[in-house]
Amino acid sequence: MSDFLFMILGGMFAGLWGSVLGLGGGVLIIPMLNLIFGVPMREAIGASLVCVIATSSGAASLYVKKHLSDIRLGMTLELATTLGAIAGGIMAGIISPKALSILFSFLLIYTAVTMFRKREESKNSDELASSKSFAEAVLPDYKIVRLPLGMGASFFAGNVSGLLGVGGGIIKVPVMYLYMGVPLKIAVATSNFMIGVTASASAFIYFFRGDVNPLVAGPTMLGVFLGATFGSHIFPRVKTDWLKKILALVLLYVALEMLFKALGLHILF
Amino acid sequence: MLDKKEKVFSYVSNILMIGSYSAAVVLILGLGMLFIQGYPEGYLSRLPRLSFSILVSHFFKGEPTSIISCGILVMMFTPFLRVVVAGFSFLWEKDYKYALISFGIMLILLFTIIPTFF
Repeated sequence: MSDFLFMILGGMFAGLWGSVLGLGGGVLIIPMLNLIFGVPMREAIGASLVCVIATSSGAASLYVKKHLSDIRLGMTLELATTLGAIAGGIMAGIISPKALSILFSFLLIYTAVTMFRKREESKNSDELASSKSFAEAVLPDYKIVRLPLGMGASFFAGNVSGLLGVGGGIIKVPVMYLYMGVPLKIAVATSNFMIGVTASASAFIYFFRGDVNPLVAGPTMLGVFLGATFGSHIFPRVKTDWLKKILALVLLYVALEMLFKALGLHILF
Repeated sequence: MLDKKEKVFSYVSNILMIGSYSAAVVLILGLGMLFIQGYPEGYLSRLPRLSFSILVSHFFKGEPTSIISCGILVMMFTPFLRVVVAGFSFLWEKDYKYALISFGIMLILLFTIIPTFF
């Protein structure tokens, strides 16, 4: 029974931090389920994908209403990202849980390193979460360029999402912003809009394989949903620079823990 | 009065909101029943995956694990419904290119959804 309550609380924590820091919950949920609760890696990824849909749907609803998501661009890129997600979901069933852990730990290191960099992106993500900024947002006109590159990157992002249970925004947002001529705020909102469909494509594969355990995914998803909803209302103006640095350190530690565990070494648990 | 373009945004936004809140309500119901009945021992052991029809029949019998599964499925179907709504909205708007793209995504998603019915 206590595990059940701790999963809800852990999910709330992940949802809260995720919404405050603009992260999909996956990078927090998977290590929590796998390292603390001992949930097998594939089931942890299955639960995370469901949680990613929950966080994305709530936020995307708001972004779409405020016309910040470029629906047409998002749906074009979804053609590639869903195919990538299906490939990733199938691959996850073939490769060993140990290999999944190793790949996931590299993804955590990459996420931690990007969080350490002080970027304009983070500032804009924070602004996007603020309802006042939505009202004040002045969005420039833009012309989409290099669509084939975006399709390729979306396929890769979908693949990473289906394989490792994360949203894939960490790949899509920089590509849209840096290479496709999409303003950052719109890139963040469009990525969020796409994440639900991407995660859904692979989540059904996990569900079919029996890798979505309702007794793990259910309480975690509810916690994430409550935490993300609470976080988006309570913390839109929290200064996140130091929070990001703390979380980056935590992610680096967790990455090493997962890596060592997969290699048969243990540094904490 | 919303114009057609505004309506696409409005429909897509609403379906996402309705889907996620409905899933949360079903989940709370299932988890509440599980809380009263007690969490099963060995919940980490692999549970048998139930077919859609069995899941729904267990749902109506008030079986908590199946209710939770249904809540999860409602959440998983929400993005698919969003694609369907967007597709028909584009069609209604006579934006055939994006209607076609939406139906393409729908087909790709159906490829993964249909096996879960069996």
